[in-house]
Amino acid sequence: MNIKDLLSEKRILLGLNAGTKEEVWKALAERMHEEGIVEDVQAYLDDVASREKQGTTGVGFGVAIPHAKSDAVRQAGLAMARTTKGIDVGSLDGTLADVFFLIAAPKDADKIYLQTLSKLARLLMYEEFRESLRKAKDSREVIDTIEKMEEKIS
Amino acid sequence: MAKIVAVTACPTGIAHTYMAAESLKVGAQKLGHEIKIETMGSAGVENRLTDDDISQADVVIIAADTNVDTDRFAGKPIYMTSTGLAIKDGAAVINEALSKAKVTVAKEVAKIEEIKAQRSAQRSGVYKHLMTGVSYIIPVVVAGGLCIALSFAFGIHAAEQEGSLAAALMRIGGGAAFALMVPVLAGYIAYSIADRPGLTPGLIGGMLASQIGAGFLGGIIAGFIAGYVALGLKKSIKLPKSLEGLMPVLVLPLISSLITGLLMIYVIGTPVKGIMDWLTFRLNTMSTTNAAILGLALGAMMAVDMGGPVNKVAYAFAVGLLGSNTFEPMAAVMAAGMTPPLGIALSTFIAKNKYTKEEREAGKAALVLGMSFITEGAIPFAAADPLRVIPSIIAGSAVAGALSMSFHCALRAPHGGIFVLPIPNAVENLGFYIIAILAGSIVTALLVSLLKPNKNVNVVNAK
Repeated sequence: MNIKDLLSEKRILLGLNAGTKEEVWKALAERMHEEGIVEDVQAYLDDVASREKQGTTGVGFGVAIPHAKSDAVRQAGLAMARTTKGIDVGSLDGTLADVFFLIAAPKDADKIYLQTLSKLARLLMYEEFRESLRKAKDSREVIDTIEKMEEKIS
Repeated sequence: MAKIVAVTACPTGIAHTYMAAESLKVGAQKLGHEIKIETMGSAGVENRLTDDDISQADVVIIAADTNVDTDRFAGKPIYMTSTGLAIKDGAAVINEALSKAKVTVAKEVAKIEEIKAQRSAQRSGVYKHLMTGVSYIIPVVVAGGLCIALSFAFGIHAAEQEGSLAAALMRIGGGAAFALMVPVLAGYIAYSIADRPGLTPGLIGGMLASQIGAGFLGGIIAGFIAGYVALGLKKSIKLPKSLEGLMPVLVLPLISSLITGLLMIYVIGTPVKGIMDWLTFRLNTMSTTNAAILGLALGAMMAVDMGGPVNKVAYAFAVGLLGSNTFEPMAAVMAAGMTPPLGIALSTFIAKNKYTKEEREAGKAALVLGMSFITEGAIPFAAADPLRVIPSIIAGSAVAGALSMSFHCALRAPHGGIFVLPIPNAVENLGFYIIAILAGSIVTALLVSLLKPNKNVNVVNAK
């Protein structure tokens, strides 16, 4: 399974102007809805919020990986946003998040959901990867970065 | 390059498990170590560690925020940390783990010191008081015994020449230090029981025991009487406030010394002297067979609990007899106390494949401890594998004790290990004494080596 296959250029928002994490989720969920991944944006966002309540998905290094399995999701997918300013997501290391990956998965897609999450977590441990994400000029470059890194650690 | 295995786990079993794993991997690469990491995530265990991986690893790192079962890592150095720290700096965690896990002689020796300190802190009651007394006389007896030994260096009758250095040394050792032995023993037993008020009646009672000829047995009894009498008086006598200052300087010392002293003179002294005379006579005229049996018993006692109560009883017995000029049991006891760590150390050298790398390093520490007569040096090995190790060290110590007694080896100092051997006349029959120690060590080494399973067996089968 490759993360880049779950992404699409349209689902990558660079320079998103948002003040709260909920605004980021909403922007990303709407894009996923447009591409047929999320069926019901509001129901999905509710599930993301209730997952977030169990514990922050701000994994540190300025990155957050909100995620939810939901009946409102038609097929597994990923969306990414880079915000113009850091947002407080209650990260474990206290950093403000400016890179968000939102994972959507159907209720029964346990495997792909966990694999995506764990692989993203692994990728994010490489400083060069985080830097490339932050420097990327367009969606294509983000996908290329992910692809390259996935090859490197596999 | 070190070989590392690691396990990462977090409560939700998702992001942090994998982040920690990746961070450790990156850290290991950067430092040039080999690492295999098992992730215990929600998706189940991935990259599971095999027995082979574990047995070859130098250290186990567990970066987890939940409980991880460590049974399968038994015998390996384990370094526990959180996923958070591993994520923050994997290389630092690895460096820390390797340095903490490294078994060094100095660390092993420090560990034994800690065990000894813990054990003496746990002592209680009669045993604790006796051991306090013994611990205070050991340096007195070491100083005295070695001065006497040095005096003999001028010739066995040299001390009879008045005004000679030999005579002076004999006076320091025999006339002063050994004369103090029983009073100090009694004094500090009483001190252990009753604190300061015990010291005076204890010293006086001990001196009386010594003068009567009741030896260390009399001294022990005097110490306990003095201690409990002083303690009882301290609690029961109530003086008016204005006279309280007289308690420690007049009332307590006088009454407690009178009670102890009169009991020693009229009741206890003479029968105990009889026992001591009988004991020393028997010990000094013993047949070689009986001597060997006593050595066997003392030797086994030294090894059975490695510095515990049984060991200390045998030791205290031998030290006490020094005061009655009976030096052979002391030799047997020290030989038997040295062989458990020495034998195990020898085993780690001759049967390398039966020990892990860490155990072989610990073996070097055991060698040092054994040479210094610190029987506790065998504890880490005995604790890890008691059913094989303890019988082996008992056998070796019994052999060492029996041989030392049958060779009529004698030792004038109650401690010092091999460092006391070169001092002239500290040991009688030095050559045979060394043979006794070596023989005991070899018996232990062969038995342990024979009984222990090969460490590599599993690995070979797994391949």
